[in-house]
Amino acid sequence: MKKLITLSTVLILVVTLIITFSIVGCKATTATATTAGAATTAGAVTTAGAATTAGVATQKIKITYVRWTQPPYDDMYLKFAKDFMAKNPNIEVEILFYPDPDAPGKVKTAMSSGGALDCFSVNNFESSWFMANNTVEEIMPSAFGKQSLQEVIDMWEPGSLKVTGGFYNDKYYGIPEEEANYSAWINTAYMKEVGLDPVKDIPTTWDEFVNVAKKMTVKKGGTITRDGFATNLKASVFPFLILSALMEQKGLDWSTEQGLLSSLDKPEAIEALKTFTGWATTDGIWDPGLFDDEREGFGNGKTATFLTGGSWYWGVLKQYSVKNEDVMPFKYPRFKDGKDIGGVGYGYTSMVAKQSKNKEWAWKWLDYMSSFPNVIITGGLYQPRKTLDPALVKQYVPNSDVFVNELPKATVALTSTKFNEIKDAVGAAIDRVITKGMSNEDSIKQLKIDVTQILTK
Amino acid sequence: MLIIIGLIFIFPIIWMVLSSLKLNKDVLAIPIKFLPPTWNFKSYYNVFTSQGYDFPRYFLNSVIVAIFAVLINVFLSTIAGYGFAKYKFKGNSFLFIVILSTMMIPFQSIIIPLFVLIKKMGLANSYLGLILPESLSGFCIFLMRQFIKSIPDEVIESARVDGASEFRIFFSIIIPMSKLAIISIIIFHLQWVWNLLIWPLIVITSPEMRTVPLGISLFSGVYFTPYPEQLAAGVSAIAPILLLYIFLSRYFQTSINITGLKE
Amino acid sequence: MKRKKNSYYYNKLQNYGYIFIAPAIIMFFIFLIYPMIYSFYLSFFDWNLVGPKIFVGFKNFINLLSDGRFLNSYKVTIYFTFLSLLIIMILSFFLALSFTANIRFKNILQSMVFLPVICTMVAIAIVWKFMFQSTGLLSYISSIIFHVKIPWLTSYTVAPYSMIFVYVWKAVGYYMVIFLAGLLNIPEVYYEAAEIDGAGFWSKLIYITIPQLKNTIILAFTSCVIFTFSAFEQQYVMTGGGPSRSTEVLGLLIYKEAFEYNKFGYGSAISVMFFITLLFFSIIQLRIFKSET
Repeated sequence: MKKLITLSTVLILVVTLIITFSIVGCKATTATATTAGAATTAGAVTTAGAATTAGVATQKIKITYVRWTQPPYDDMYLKFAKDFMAKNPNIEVEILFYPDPDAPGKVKTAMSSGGALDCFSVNNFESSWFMANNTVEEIMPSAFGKQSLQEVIDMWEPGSLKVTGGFYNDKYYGIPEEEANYSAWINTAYMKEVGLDPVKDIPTTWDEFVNVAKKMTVKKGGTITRDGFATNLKASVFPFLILSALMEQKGLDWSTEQGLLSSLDKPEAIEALKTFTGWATTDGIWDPGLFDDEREGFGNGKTATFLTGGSWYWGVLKQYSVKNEDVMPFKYPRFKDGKDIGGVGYGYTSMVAKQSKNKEWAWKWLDYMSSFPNVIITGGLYQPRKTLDPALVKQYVPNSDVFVNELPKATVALTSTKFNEIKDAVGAAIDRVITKGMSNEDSIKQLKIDVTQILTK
Repeated sequence: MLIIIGLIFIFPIIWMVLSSLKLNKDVLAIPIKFLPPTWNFKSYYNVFTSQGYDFPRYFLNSVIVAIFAVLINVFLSTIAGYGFAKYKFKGNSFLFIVILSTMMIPFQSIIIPLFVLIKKMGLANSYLGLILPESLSGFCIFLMRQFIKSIPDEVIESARVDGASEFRIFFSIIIPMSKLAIISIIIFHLQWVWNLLIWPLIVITSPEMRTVPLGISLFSGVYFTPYPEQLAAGVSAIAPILLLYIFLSRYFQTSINITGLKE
Repeated sequence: MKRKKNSYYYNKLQNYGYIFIAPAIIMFFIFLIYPMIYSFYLSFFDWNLVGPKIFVGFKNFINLLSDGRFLNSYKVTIYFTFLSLLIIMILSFFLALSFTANIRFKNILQSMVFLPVICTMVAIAIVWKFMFQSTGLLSYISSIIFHVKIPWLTSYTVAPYSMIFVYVWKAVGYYMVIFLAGLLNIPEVYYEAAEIDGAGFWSKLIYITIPQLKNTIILAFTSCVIFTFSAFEQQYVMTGGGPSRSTEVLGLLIYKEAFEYNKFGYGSAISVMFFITLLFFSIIQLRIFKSET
C-alpha cells in the first residue's frame, strides 16, 4: 500500500510541478520587461485556456511582422513600431526577428500551421514562391490613403517594385523594403602597395580585373595568404549571382527559367563559366579555402576585391579592420564585346499574408515602417521611396553614383518558384569545376540535365 | 600519454575561449594569433547586456526547460526500461523496437507534423511546448533497459518471495542499483536538451522565450557576425553543463555497484 | 503445489510490464510516433507546405532511386557512419578502460575528453572552420611539420575525412561514458577471482570484461550507428554539403529538400528510406548480438 502511495505521490508531485511552472512561465513572460523595447510584448500562449487577448477590455488588434535580424537596423524598426503604436493605441505591433536564412522558412511554417502572421519582408529571390503559391495579398491602395494601385506604385522609384520582388504574373503584392545592387569593391591601399593607381587602374573589363587581382594576390610558400578575388563557394547564392551577371553580359537570359535553360546550349554559357571558374583554377587569384565569407574576408583584408557588396557594405565595413578610406566600389567590369550590364539588382519586399485577420492595418504598418528612408539611409541601406533625400544619399553612401547610376543597368536575377533548387544546381556546377577539376563543358552539360529535371519533375 | 589525448580534445575549446576574448579582427587574423593581442573582456559584457538579445532570460528559459525535460525523462526511462528489461509480456520486443525506431527518423522529418500538433494543443511558444517533446528519448530508455537487464533476476525473485510488491521492488531495489545508469542518462539528456537548436527554432516565436542555442545562432548576422560575442555566448553555454558534469562524474566514480546476493 | 501457484502467478506478474511501460508509450505515441506516421504518409504526396497535398503514389520513391544526388548522399552517409563507428568504438573503449585504472587527474582528463560533447555545434563549428582554413592552424601545422598541404574542406576527397575527424572528436566522450558506466558495473569480485587463478590482462579482458559488457556493447554500437547516420548540424554549419556534395549526408539532404526546396513529400520519402535503412541495421545488430550468448 505504502509503495502505491509513494508512486502516486511522486507522479502527482511531478505533474503539479509541471502545471505550476507553466502557469508561472505564462506570467513570467508577461511580467518580464525585455530590453528590446515595447514592441515585443507577450506573444507566449501556454496551456489551453490561457488566451491572452480574448475578452480583455482594450480589444487590441495585433499585427505580427516577421523580418530578418540585422543590427543596427533592428533597433530602428523597434522604434518605428513603438511610434506606430503610440499613434494608433488600438494596435499592437510585434516584430519577430530571425536570422536571414531562417526567416522565409519561419514564414512558411506559420503559413502551413495557421500561426500568427500578418506581414513579413523577404528578399526577391524567395518572394516569387510566396506570390506564386497564393499566400499573399495584392496591394491594398486604400490602406495607403490612395485611390488606385498606380498611385501606390508611384510612391517609389520606377521599376523598384519589380526589382525588389513585389511583382508576379502581372500583379503587385509587395512594397519595396530595400533595394540594392552588387558592385565590385577593391582595396585601394593594396593597389598602391603594388604600384597601381587607385583611379586610373580601376579595371573596366574582366581581363583587366584578372590582371589587377593577380598583382594584389599574395603567396607565401605556395599558399595564397591574400586572395586577389574571393567569394563564398559554400553558399551557392553568391557564385550564382556573380555568374548570372556574367551570363547576362554575354547576352544570355538568366532572368527566367526558360531563358536559363536554353542558354545552356549556347557556347557563351561555357565562356561565362570559364571566366568565373578560371579565377580559382587557372588565374590563381582565388583560393576558396582561405576563408568562407567574402564580406568578412574583404573587411579583414584577406582579399583585394569582391563582387557581392551593395551600398549597405559601407556600414558593415566599419566593424572591420580595413578602413573605409582604403576601399572603393566600382562598376562591375564588362566583357570586351559584352553587353553593358552591371551587377545583380535585388532587394527586399514587404508583403501581407493571406491569412492575416487585419489586412488593412498590416498594410498600414508596412507603409509606416517604410516611410523613413532618410533614417534608414544613415546605415547605408537604400530604400527607393521617392521621399528619400538625394543629399543624404550622397552623404551616407560614398560613391553612391556607382550604385545609383548602375541600378538601371543591373542584372535582373532569376524569378522562379524553384529558385533555391536552380541556384544550388548552378552552385554545384561551379563547384564541380573548381573542386573536382571537371571541364567547364561537361559541367554545363550536367547542369542542363539538372535544371531540366528540376523544371519538369 | 593520456594527457596528450586530453589536450587534443580540449584544444579547440581553449581556442574558443581565447578567441572569445579577442577583438573581432583578431579572431580571424592571418597570421594566426593564438593569444589575444588585445584582451577584449567586453565581449562577455556585451553578450549579457545586449540590447536586442536578453541572454540572462535565455539562460533562465534553458534552465527551466532542461530541468523539467530531464526530470520527466528520468521518470519515463527508468520505469519503461525496467518494464522492458525484466518483464516478459506479449509485445515486449515489438514495442521496444517501436521505441527504438523513434531514434531512427531524423528530427527534421517530424518537425512539421509535430509543430502542427503542438500548435493544436495550444502549446506553441510555451515552456510545455518545449519540455514535453524534449523529454522523450528512445536512447535513454534503451540505456536503462540494457543496464537493468544486467541486474540479476535472483535479486528480484527473492524480493518477490519476501512479499514485496512490484512497485516496491522498483523503488527499493532497481533504482538504487541503477544509479550509474540514471546519472548517465541525466548527463546525456541534459546536454542534448541544453544544446538543442532545431526544435526551439521552430516552436519559439517570441524573443523572451528563446533558449540559449537559439540566442547564439542569432549572432550570425547576414553581413556581419560578431565572433567574439558569439564565441563568448558559446563558452557561457558550456560552463553550467561542464560544472554539472564534473560534479556528477565524481559521483559516478564512487557509485560502484556491488551486486551479489547477501544470502 | 508452490510451483504451480508460482507459474500462474508468475505469468500474471508479467503484465505489470504493461503498467511500467505505459506512460512512456503514451507520450511517445503522441509526440513522436504519430508525427512519424504522418511524415511517412506525406511521402506519398507532393506538398509544398502551403498548397494542397497532391497524391502521387510511389512517384517520389521511383524518382529517388534514379536520383543521383540521393544515391550519392546515401553513399556518403553510409561511409561516414561506418568509418566513424569503427574509430569511435575503438577509441572510446580504450579510453574507458584507461579510466578504470587509478590514474592521477582521472576526473580532469575524463572531463577533457567529454567536453566536446557538451559544446553547442553552432559555436564550436566556428573554431573548426578557422582551423581548417588554408591559413588556419591545422593547415599551418601540417605544412610546417609534415610538409604537406592538406585541402581540409576544399577537396572533395579530403573533406569527408575532415568531417569524420570533427565528428569523432565530438562524439568519443559520449561513448566513453557509456563504456565507463558499463565497466564500473562489473563486480570487482570477478576480477579478483580471476587474478587468483592467475589470469593476465588480456585474459581478463577477453573472458570477463567483454562478456560482462555485452549489453553495453549492444547499446553503444546500435546507438552510434543511429546517431552518426543522423548527423546533420555539423555538415550544415561547416560545409553545407560541399565540396561537390562530398559531405552531403542524408540528414542534410532531407533538410534541403523539405525546407529550402519546399518539396515536403520528397523529403519525407527520403526519410522513409532513411528509416528503413536504420531499422534494417538495428535489427541485424540486435540479432547478431543476441545470438552471441
